[in-house]
Amino acid sequence: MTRLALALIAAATPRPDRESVAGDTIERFDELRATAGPSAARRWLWREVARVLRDAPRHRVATHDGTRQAPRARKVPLMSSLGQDVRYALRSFKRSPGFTAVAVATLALGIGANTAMFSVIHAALLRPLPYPQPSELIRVGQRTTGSSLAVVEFEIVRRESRAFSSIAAYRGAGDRRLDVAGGPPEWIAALAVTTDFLRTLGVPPALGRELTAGEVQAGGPQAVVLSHAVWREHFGADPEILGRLVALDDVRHVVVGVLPADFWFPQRVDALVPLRSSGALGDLGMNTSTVARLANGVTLTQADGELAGFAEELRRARSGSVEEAYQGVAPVPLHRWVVGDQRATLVLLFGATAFVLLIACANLAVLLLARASARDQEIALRLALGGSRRRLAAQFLVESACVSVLGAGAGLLIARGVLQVVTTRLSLTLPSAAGVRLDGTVLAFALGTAMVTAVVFTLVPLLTSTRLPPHDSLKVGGRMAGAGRTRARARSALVAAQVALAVTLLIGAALLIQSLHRLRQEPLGFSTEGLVTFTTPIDRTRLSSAHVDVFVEAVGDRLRRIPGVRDVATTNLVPLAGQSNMPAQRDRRPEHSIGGMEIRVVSPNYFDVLGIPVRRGRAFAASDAAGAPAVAIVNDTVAAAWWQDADPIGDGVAIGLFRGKSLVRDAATRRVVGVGGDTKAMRLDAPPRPTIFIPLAQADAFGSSNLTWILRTEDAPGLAAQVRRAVEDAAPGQRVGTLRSMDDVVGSQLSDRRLNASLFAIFAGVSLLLVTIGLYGVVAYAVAQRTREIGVRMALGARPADVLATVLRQSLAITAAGLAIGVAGAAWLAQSLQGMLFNLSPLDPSTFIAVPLLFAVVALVAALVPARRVTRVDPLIALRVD
Amino acid sequence: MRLGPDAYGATIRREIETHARRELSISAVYTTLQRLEQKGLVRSRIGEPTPERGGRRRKHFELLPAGARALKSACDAFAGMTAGVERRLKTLG
Repeated sequence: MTRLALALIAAATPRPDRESVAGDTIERFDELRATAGPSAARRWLWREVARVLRDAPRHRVATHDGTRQAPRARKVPLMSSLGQDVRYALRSFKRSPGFTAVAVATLALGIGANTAMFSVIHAALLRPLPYPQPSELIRVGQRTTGSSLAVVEFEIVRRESRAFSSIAAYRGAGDRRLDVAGGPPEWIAALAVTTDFLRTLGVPPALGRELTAGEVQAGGPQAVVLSHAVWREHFGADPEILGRLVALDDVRHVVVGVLPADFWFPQRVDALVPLRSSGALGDLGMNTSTVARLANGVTLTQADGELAGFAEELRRARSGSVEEAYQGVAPVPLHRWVVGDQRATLVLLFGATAFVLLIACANLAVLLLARASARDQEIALRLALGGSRRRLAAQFLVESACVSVLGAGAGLLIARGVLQVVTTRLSLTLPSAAGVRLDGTVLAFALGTAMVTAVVFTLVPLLTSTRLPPHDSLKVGGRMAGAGRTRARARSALVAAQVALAVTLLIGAALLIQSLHRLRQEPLGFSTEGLVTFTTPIDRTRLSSAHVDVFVEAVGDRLRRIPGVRDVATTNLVPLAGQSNMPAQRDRRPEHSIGGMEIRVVSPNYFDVLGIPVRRGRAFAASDAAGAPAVAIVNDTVAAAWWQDADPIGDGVAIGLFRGKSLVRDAATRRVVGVGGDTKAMRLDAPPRPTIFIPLAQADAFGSSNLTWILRTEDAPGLAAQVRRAVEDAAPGQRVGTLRSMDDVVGSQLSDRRLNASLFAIFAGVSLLLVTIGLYGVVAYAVAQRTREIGVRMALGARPADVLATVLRQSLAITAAGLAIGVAGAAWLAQSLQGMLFNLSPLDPSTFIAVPLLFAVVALVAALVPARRVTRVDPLIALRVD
Repeated sequence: MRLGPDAYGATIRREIETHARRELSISAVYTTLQRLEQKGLVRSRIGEPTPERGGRRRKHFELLPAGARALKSACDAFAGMTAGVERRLKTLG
């Protein structure tokens, strides 16, 4: 280490003195080692290195001056006056605080926003999944929609495919009640999996093993793999946990393994339980997700081809409970599926921030160009006095670099702030426990861009101005004709470019905001006023239907007694909370079959409480009880599809029947007694889905594990606590889900769009601000430059209005050019917004007209303010200007 | 001046550090001495290699008559400026 220090010192010292300096250093070092000890000596040595590096440039200068004879302009090495230049730069910033503030702020905004967004994108899109060889991991989904498989499809793929080294299926198994010794029960999120789940992911368990084929089979022993957190928190990290019996929903499971502490999965996993297909109604649905690992040497395309070949067999296996358009299944890289919809959004937002950065750089360039013009005299003077062009260039470069560094520093602070906002509001499932961090690469990139801009736009004017004979600019009123014109043109081009970029962003923001607004206006089909909802998960394997009825009545009773509660309804799923579908067919009309009919189990007052109109017939009544004839209500969509204008009342529907084939044990026919209005099903931006309603009392076959309660309330303080108490009274130990207002349920559908629109609006606003400043600056500068000319013209009789018009004409021309390019660019880019817009064409004419017009007005005002000064010019004073 | 014939880089630095009571880089010492040499106030010569310094030679500096005169006039000027101030500084403590 000391050798390194000595080498550094020697390298920094000019050659003639190298030897004696090295000797002196060694002497001192030895002295210190003897008197103060080796560590003190080493510390001194490194301090000395720092000092020498600082002072060496001056030493070098002194040495050179000694050896040179002619007192010519010194060829000074770059490093020698770095400190000097930096200090000079900082002094000149203090002299022109306006320039500095604007330049730094401009850069900070551009760099800050960009860095933040890229950090998010890097974490979300570019970081690989935390599994070994993540590129081999595949998800198998429906070829047409990418959604989950039916159990039978998974089994066929597993049996027949040779493309995968391992494959496993999983399905969310809801919350299970874990009985903990000596404490209240805990609710943990269970994931039902087949064997090989962990093997496919490549994650070995921390303890024990994963589920075996025997345990996953119907009738097999109940086994469970616990998550590390559950093992630690509820079992005290007991090393003897394997083989212990734990009770999940009162069913005893043997603990066979524990997951590693850093296990990550796109959804919350507290326990792995066996996924058993029982042939029950629930298994018909497409609700089983699949993960697989490509076998050695097999590519995605090859796997795709193989799976495509299974289409016929899959169709047959699903007993034709599929639409005509069914095309089997297809593989998709798991990483892409995890990131999912967010990709498009993130790329879009990144594009927006890139625009902002460009605008910021353009602004900086304009500022620098203007400044260069202002310093023409200073430059000429210094050159005339013997300064070297190189020194000047170096000094100005240092200045620009300082601005860039300051801007980047401020930008970092902004980036941190933006990241806070984005990561708390964006519901991203990021494949990294560390989450989103400020990314060094991007900061370096942004800083680099700013620096390059600074360098280019410092050097270019400098080169042009130093070429001219100095005496031209030293003349009174020194205007540089040639260079001045080029610079002015460059400035105009830059401002026009800024305008183009900004107007593109503004149009994008306007489109997104309008789209959000239209989505908000969508008719829901029901009223949310005063409605509050919560769920109570039911374990159907333990509670028979009779028990469920008692439960529902007991709870409903107590809920009604809460002050402020006007009415209570029950259903399996409220609108916009999910989907639950099954094949269904019109009685005796096999051609009227729907594969994914939404089924809603409801209490009789459901339609009333939600404000859903019953267009024909009647709603359910108390008389539609367990033993009574099976009835159903269809919604408008079904009525239109199956009956068109005829009356559905009295006709029959059969759930579980599809194209004449019965898919369940008894697909009983139900008589239609009413037609209800359409409501939104799972998504706000999708049309209502065909739905059949069944009375709660007649619903045994549809063992939904969830019961949702809807309360119509008026002024009910402390409702959440009272609800919990009511349920606890009626059914001790029953889990109660979070209480939410229906407005919140609807609102959560809007949150992502709202975030996009807000971010875009912010970017657009920032760029508008930057461009306005740019325009203002350009016009103000032009006015200042031409004060004399204006004075002359006014002295010759020109009217202020005419002069004003002349000045404005220039800036309006720039703006118009920029707008034209911007609108064209926006039209081209808008296509990529297609997927994000609701009910709005990407080339919406009103937006494309209104935004540029608005921009033109703003630009006019920005130009008008400095231009008005022109009218106040006193010709006498103007003519005297230097 | 104080060091006499023993005045070379390391010793000069040590002397200044002792009296100025702060650390100094070797480059700063050489720079100043070089400037003095250019102005003709000191003279340098390379000495013999010594085993303690790993065989490296020392660069000795010697005060020239012109330098001695310059030093004297600087001291006089300083003494003139501080005359009387010393007493007052003592009372300030």
